[in-house]
Amino acid sequence: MAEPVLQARSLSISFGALKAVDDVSLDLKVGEIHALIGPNGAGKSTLLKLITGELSADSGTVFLGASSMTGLGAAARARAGLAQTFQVSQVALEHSVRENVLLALVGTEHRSFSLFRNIRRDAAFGERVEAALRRVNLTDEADAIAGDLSHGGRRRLEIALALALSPKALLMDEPLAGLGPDGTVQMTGLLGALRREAPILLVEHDMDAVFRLADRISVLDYGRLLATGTVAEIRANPDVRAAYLGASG
Amino acid sequence: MTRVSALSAATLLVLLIVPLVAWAQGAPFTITLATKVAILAMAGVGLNIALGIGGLVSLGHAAFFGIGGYAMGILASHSQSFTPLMEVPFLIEGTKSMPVIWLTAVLAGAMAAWAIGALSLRTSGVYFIMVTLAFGQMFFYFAISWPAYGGEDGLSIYVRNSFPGLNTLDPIQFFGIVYAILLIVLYLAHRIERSAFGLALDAARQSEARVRSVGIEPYRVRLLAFVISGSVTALAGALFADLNRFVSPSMFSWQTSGEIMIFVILGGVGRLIGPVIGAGVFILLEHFLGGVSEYWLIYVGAILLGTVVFAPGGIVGLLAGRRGQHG
Repeated sequence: MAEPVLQARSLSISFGALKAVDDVSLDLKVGEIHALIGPNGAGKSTLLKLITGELSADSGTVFLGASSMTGLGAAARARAGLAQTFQVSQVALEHSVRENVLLALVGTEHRSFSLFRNIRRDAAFGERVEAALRRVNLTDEADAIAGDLSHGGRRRLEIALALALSPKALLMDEPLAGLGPDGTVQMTGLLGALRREAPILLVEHDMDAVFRLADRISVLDYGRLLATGTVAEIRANPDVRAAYLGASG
Repeated sequence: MTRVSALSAATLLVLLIVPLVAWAQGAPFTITLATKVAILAMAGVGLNIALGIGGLVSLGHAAFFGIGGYAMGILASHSQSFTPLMEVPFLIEGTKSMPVIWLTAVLAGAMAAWAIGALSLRTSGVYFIMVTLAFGQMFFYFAISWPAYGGEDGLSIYVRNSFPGLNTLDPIQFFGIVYAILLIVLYLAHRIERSAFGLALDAARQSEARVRSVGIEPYRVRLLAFVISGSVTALAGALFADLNRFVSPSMFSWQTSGEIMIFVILGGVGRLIGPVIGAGVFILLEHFLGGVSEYWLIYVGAILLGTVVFAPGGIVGLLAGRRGQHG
């Protein structure tokens, strides 16, 4: 297989005496879903933030393709092709669903300093917005205010926003959290299809979904990487069973 | 036509008709009052770009208002005393030409807003309010202690500055100039609100993390908004100084910043026509209540309190519905 799309090499960050992420390396290959699991407080979300650039690492490097992301902030990394969805949905709640997707296109197309043209009447952008909304099944809610969407709707809107960036890699922080059984089934189906567009680094607590979706799994515990492997390898790994999955895992 | 655009058209029409009627009846004071409303509205439109769309609560916009005023005062005072502004390294003379003064005011306002914004936009919330207030006060004390341009007493300009082809000392002609500029500024603000930049600025107010995650630096977008906002307010300051033919440090005072903010809040935060209505109501209150009682600002305070508590969308929100879709 080709070069990994995304590589994290020896990432570390400390908050005071606490080593939240300690020398973690992992990669994301074309077409895969790589799940990141671990107990609460293991450093999963922190690791994700180091990769997206929301936090800057004390040491270590992130590579997207061949280019180093060191020194780039979150916005620059997003423009480079690192898209993310948040644990707590982050959308412009006063804007319509359509306007939210439009914002993502404005970002990728470097149009945020266009001061004069009515962006809502731009036909080319409009079509791309529709296409992104179709992907996540939000076409009917296009004119709804994002704040009025259901929790699941906002989750799907976040994915539409990420897709609008034409990302090279997707980083998702617990996309299934808080979804009902129907929503989980729908979202799992969506994630399974998305991996062909961009590989996904998935932080998730729902173990059933992780074992169903993931091609590979990395286990984080106390900020350190415990193991990386296929679903079968992780299930069989005694360290993982002890630290996390428990006897029933 | 939506209710908002009907309200906007009606407001602008009233602001045009009142001075025309006053002109026909020979009541120049009313024309001056309307001119004042139009100028203060413009200052509010400037602030509203930062405050309304971007959520940047600046309590230092008097700095830009005053800079515009002093741009006019300094240029015109050199012109009327026939002394050059500077000789080394090159000669700059004063001027009485309005277009040159406006351009100077806009550029000076933009540069000041860029410097102040670059520093203060690193903070947010209450800190941002305090930092902008502090910058405003800096300009205030600087103006007071600058004897070359009148210090505490301010600067009088004896004859109003000139505009090609018009007699600016005729109140109705000067009103015409101000009204035309207000229309242009409103049009530009309207375009900005609907542009990609406006969308990003508005979204940054709602979710900074989201804006960043789609590849937009909130800081840069806000800085540009602050610069545009400051230069519009500076332009209004230059016109205000020309209206009074007088510039003084009070243009820099924090009370001025507060008044500009009152226009916006009273009219409707983030509503294009809001500051025009807000400034109109404020000036009417000043005119009528000011004649009744010295303490008229108490009533303004009560009205402002009522607006914030019972009608957070301001007068525009009350008359034309809450801000929702930008339809």
